[in-house]
Amino acid sequence: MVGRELVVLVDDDESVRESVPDLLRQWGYEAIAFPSAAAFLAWEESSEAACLILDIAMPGMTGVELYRELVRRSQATPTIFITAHADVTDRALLLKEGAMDCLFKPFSEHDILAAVASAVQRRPRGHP
Amino acid sequence: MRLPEHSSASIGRASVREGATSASEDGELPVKFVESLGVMGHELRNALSCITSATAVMRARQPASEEERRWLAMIERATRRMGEIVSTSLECVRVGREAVVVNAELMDLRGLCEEVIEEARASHATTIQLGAGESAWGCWDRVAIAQVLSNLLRNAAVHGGTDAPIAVEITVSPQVAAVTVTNRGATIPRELLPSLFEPFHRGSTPGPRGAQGLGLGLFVVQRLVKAHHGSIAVHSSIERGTSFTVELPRRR
Repeated sequence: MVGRELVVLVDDDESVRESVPDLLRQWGYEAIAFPSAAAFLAWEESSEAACLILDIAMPGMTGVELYRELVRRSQATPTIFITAHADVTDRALLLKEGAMDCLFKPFSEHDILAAVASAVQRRPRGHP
Repeated sequence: MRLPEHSSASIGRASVREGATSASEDGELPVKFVESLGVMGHELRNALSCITSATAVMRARQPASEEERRWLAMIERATRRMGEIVSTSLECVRVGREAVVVNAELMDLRGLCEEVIEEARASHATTIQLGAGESAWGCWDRVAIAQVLSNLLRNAAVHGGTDAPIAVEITVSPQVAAVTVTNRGATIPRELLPSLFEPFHRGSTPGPRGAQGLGLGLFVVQRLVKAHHGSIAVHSSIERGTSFTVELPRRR
């Protein structure tokens, strides 16, 4: 088991929002899910996340746009992108922009947990 | 069913079959169809993510009985299989609609073969033997050729005999490198050969391992090989088994 770091998932697909947080909680993380970038940004505790898992293709603001907005606000949190649109070129670009990882759905338990473990370790010091 | 003793076909630059029922003359798929396939594939990937995560939670909580463990393993196998089908469908979307972009780089075909074979052994739980030989350097798209090899090996694993290994041979000439994948399953009836590389072509009977794909794997192979200005030939006989040989020019 690991500590109780907060992992936030933003994905418009309800089945992913229902299942991935359960998996993360099983491994000792706090987990909360939002259906859209707007819902996440409206959340007053959005800066508390130790790690973000963002779906790339969402209606309205995409996961990539949300990530850039957070960087603009100096609220950069270690971020893992997830996507059903497998494109290795996009993945390379996102990693170049500072993303921790980019996983193609359906990702394995091992891959998502390894990515989250690596991401929470990269959280800037000074956060609770 | 009585199988013919010998069947063969060749598809290459000059002989790519035209007039397929669901493909346009240049081998591309109708745009609407490809778009629908893409949307369906992406939606299924979300659903598969849900199943994968849910089964991982169930396994972590340790099923109470042997029966529950068996059911869980069954769900995991089916999920992996669905994932493979979706991946193949999306690969078809990538190559089926427009000219395939080839990002050629200098690479060793034998080295790539070894990597793909290792993955295939784990995925298909089958014996695959790579014949001895030297390196086979050439300029090809690494990702595309890995897909070609992977699809051919999967095809051989599905349709090959359960007790005979899959054989992979690489030959090199100054101009061309060739890979041959041979399985010892039932021969391909002669009448099926002309449509073998058409999208959604499936054998008349499932292989000994049961599951068949959507029939897109060889279509994808053909598109990727054609994009490399290569050719693919099939030979099927009781004596020699079923072989798919891909020939790739070493320089474009």
